[in-house]
Order: sequence, then C-alpha cells, then structure tokens
Amino acid sequence: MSDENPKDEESIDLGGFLKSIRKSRGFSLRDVERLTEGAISNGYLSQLENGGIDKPSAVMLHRLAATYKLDYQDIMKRAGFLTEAEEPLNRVATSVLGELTSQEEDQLLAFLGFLRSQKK
Amino acid sequence: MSLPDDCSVSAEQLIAIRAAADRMLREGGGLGVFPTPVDDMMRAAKIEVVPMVIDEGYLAKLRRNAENAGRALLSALSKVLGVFDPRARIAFIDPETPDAKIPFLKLHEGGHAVLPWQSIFGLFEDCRMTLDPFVKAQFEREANVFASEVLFQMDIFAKDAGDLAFGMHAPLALAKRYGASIYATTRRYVMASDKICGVIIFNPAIIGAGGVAVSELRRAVVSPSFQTRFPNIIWPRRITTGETLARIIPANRMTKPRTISLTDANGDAQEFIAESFRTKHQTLVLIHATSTLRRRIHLPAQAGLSLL
Repeated sequence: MSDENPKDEESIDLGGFLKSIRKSRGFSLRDVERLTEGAISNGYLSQLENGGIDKPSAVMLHRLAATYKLDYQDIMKRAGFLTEAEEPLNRVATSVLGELTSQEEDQLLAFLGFLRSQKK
Repeated sequence: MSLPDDCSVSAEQLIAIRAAADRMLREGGGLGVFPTPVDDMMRAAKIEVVPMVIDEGYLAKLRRNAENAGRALLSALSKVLGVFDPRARIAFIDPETPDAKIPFLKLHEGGHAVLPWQSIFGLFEDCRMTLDPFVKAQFEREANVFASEVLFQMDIFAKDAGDLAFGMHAPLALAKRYGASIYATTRRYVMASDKICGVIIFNPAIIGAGGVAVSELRRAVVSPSFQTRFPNIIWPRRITTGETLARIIPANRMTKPRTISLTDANGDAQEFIAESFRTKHQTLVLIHATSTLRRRIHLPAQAGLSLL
C-alpha cells in the first residue's frame, strides 16, 4: 500500500477517501483552510468528507489534489466525473452548435493530433 | 425554444475565474487599454490562435480508408465554433465566425487554457472515458464567464457603464469601446448593473404563412436586483405580428423606449420600459423598471448615499 492509499481506497467513497488522505498527511480541517488561504473552508471540507456535498466543483477538487499532492485525474474519477465508456464523450474543450457524437469526437481528436504532428 | 443557461457559476467558481482573468489582464497588459487587446493577451498567455480549416489531403486519406470517418469529421467541424487543444496550447476558431464575436470566442478558448482545473481535458483524451456532462457544461459556462471578465476588464466595465445614461445607446457605445459584440456587451451591461434591468433576446423573425413574422425567445438575462425584485417573470416564448408585444420588435434598427407589460408567475402584470435593437443575428430588448430612469442626485460628502 502506498502512502497515498492509507485505507482500502477502492472501497471507500470520495468523502471517506479525502478524509483518510487528509489524516495521512497529518492535516486538520483548519490546516487545509490555512494551506489553501481560505479557499477551502473547514466547514466545506467537513461537509465534503461526510458526504454532504453531492457534486463538488472541479475547482475545489483541483485545489484538494494540489494540497494533498494527489493525481487530479484520479480524484475526478473517484468523484464519478470521469467514467469508462464504450462510446466516450466530452473529451475535448469545444464550443459547439448542438452536441458531438462519440464518433465525431473521435475524428475531431484524431484531426487535432494530425494538426499537432504537422507543427512539429 | 430558449437556450439553456450559459453563464451561471457558483461563488467559489467565480472567485477562481476572476483570479485567472485578473492574471491574464495584468500579464497581457490589457487593463485600461481599449479596445481590449485580446490578441496581445493570448500571446502573453502563450496560446496560439489558428483558424480551424480542414486539411484536404488528410480528409481524402481518411475517406479512402473509411468514408464514415470522413463524414464524421466534416460533421464535427460543421458544429464546432472553437476548440482548444491543450497539448499544443492552440485555440482553433471557426473562420466563418462573425468578426464581432471573435474576441469573445478567442477568450472563451483561452479560458479552457488558463483555468487550472480544466487541465483535465488534456489528461484523458486518449482514454475511453467520458467526462460527466454536468461538469462539461460547467466548464463551458466557466469559459464564458472568464471571456466576459477579461473582455470587459472586470470592474472597469461597470464603472464605464455607470458614467453613461441608462439605455440601449450605452451598450452600443461600450461595444465599440471594448471591441466586443453588441450581444455580449448588452448581456454584460445588465449583469453588471445595479439597476432593475434585463435584456430579452429573440432570434431573427421568421416569416410564416400569411406573412406573419414570429420571433422566438432565445434567452433572457437580468441584473441581480431584477432577479431579486421580479424572480417569477414569465418571458414571452415568441412574439408574433399583431400581438401587443410586437411593437418591441423593431421594423428597422431600433425602437424608442416604450412601456410594456409582462406577467409574473402569480398572474400579476408588471410594467417595464423596453427599447430594442435589431442586428442580423438577434433582436435585443432592454427592459428596466420605471425607477431606473429617475435621476440620481449624489451628495458629495456622503459618497454611498443617493436620492431618487
């Protein structure tokens, strides 16, 4: 078990995971508030850890990832914001009229890859 | 059918967005420079802006291998107004975007580049993973708010707007000053206003059977004080030739201020002053409570106090 996985991390929810990570870092709720210069209040974090916040914002999850030195993508997965899919969607930052299908996204991403390769 | 909300963010998101906007304005030398120097700021933020143009050789090769894939790419590009490639830090912009909308669109894509938590886009594009649609929509709203904060130089816009007489002529003048579209400027104008005001935006009229013109509601945006005072206003879903509200749809470019009546959720009629401006892309109807027009007398010794 790495020091980032102080408990059986696969079996606990986001709140429980964040709580166990915070404790493994030796931080109190107020320490986190201080470390984030008030951006994550101890009240907010307490709610988050206890499952009182259904959909935390990516802003907050990114801050927590930075504070705890965790992988941001991993936290987003744990929050349920990134999920495995046979036909994945929303992988690219776009302004679109309507919505892109998974196949359209595949082709757009491949085309962006081609344009990147042309610039090298 | 009106469009979904495209600019609501939470207080915590707004604080983080404004911090990023402030950084871009300062590091790009944009504060107090008019029109807002979008290209300079994008360069300072090391974001390249490139027109999104199909490579015919790439498309031909793609089609030789799989016709469906070629169709999917063309279909995707027909929908895309802008796309940000985080790995190359390039914002691709639809070259057919109207000139007035380009600065906002560039900054929207710039928002995807500089809002740190949106870096997730570059991390999973090779994986078979889906980003929650709620989060994706949130990211798009955040990019819109970021673009508006930078283009209108955060609090400078509200001060400029406050120096002008309230009315449709103000956002028209401010759009030129900031180098923004009239649409984006009028939205910012009401959202930054301390007055009880709003803008109702209608799509261009479509002429139907018998020459009847129908203007469909696109969206309505209101000031914070409007939301507090009139939280339950029911917006007209469409305006058709001949009905009372049709007089707020200009036959030419603008209408003069006129009194209109809108109904709230309790069925009570509420009166507003409305004046309209028509562009090729929409009709903007600026509305405000009658008290907005009353002159304020400022007492120099007590800066915060004003008399109606």
